[in-house]
Amino acid sequence: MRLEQSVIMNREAQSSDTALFRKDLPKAGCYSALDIGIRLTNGATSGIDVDILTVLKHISLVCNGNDYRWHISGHDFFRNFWLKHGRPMPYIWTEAGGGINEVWLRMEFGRFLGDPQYGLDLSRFNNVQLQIDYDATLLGAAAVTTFTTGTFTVTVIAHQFPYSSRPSFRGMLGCREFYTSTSAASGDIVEDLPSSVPVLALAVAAREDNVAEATDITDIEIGKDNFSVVYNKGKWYNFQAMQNADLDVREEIFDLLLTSGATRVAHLANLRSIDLQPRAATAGAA
Amino acid sequence: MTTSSVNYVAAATTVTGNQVTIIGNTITAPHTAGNTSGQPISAVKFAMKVVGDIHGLLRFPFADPETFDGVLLPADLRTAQIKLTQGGAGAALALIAEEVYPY
Repeated sequence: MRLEQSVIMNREAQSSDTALFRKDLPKAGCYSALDIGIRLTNGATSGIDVDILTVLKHISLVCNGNDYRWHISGHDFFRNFWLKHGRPMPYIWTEAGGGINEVWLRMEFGRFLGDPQYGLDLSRFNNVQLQIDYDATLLGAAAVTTFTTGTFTVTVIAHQFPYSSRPSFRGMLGCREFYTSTSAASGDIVEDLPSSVPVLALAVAAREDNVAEATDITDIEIGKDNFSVVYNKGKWYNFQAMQNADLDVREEIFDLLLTSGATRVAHLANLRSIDLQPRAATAGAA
Repeated sequence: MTTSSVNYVAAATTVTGNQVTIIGNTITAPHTAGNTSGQPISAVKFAMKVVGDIHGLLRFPFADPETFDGVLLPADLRTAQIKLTQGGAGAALALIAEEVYPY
C-alpha cells in the first residue's frame, strides 16, 4: 500500500528556550509513523558539548487529553530506536560557531513503515497531541559559547496512508516510560510492569556519564509470580554484549572544537576506537 | 619569505564509560630552525569518530516483531515484575514499555 510523507510543520522556530511544545494533529488520517526533527543553533563563537538529546526532556503522544501512548526522554528515544533497528536516526553534532545541531526521532505506530494492520488512526480519538517538553537552558544560559536563543526548531512529518485508501487498523504501538528514578549504591529495585495492554518489549535505561557500563545496574531479572517464572535474568554486561552484537551501525561522529584537556561524552560506551582527525592546518611555504 | 606550517594532533588519553578526555597539541615547524615546538590546542576543529556499544540502555523484546508471538498479555502482566540490582549511585534510571493498544 502506498505511503505518503506529509509535512505537518517545517522548521518552526520556538521563541522560548524552555517550554512544553504542543501540536494538535489533524482530526482524521492513518499514520504509520511520525518523524520529529529538532534543530538548535550554536552560539556565535561555538556550542561546546551541546547535546540536543539532553534538551529533549520528554516527547509524548497524548490521546484524548490524558492517554500517554508515547512518553519518553530524548536520550532514551534515540537509543531505543538504535537498539531496535540496528542503526540510529540522523544526528548532526557540531560545535562550530553558528553551527546547527540536528536530530531526528521516529514514533512508529506499526510493525514497519506501511504496516496495514497497526498504526495511528486519528479518527478514533477526539484529540491527538504531540508534546515536546524541552529545555535548552539545561546546556547553560544562551550565550556565544552555548546556543543561540530562539533557535529551537521543530519539524514534524507524518508517514500516512492516502485518504482515499485508509486501512482498518487492529491497533497501534506505543512506547511509554513508566518508571524513573536515580540509582543508589546498593539494593534492589522491584517494579510492577504495566498490565493494561500487551507488552512487546521492555527497555531499561541506566545512564551516567563517566561511569563504566554495568556499574550502576549490575543485574536485571524480569519474571512473574514473585519470579517463580523468569523471562530474562542476567548481568548487564552480558545482555549488552549480546544485544549490541546485532547492530549494523555502532559508531558516531562529532564535529568538535577541541581544547586540550577537555572531555566529551558520547552516546556510545565500551569504546573500542576513538579517531581524532584535525580539520584545520596552516600550510608552510619556503 | 619563510612561513611555518601549523598542524594539530590529539589523542584520547582517558576513557571511562561514555566519556573521553582528549589531549591535543599544536605542532609548529619553523623551517629555518629545523625543529618543532608544541603547545596545547585551544578551540581547534577536529572530527571525532567513536565506536562502541550503545550507552546505558538495554532492550528486551518478548514478541516476534512480525507475528507478535510471545507477547506478554495482561494475564501474564498482572503479576509481572522487573528487578534491578543497583551497584552504583547516580544513574538516571528509566523503564520503558513498548505496548500494543487495540482499537
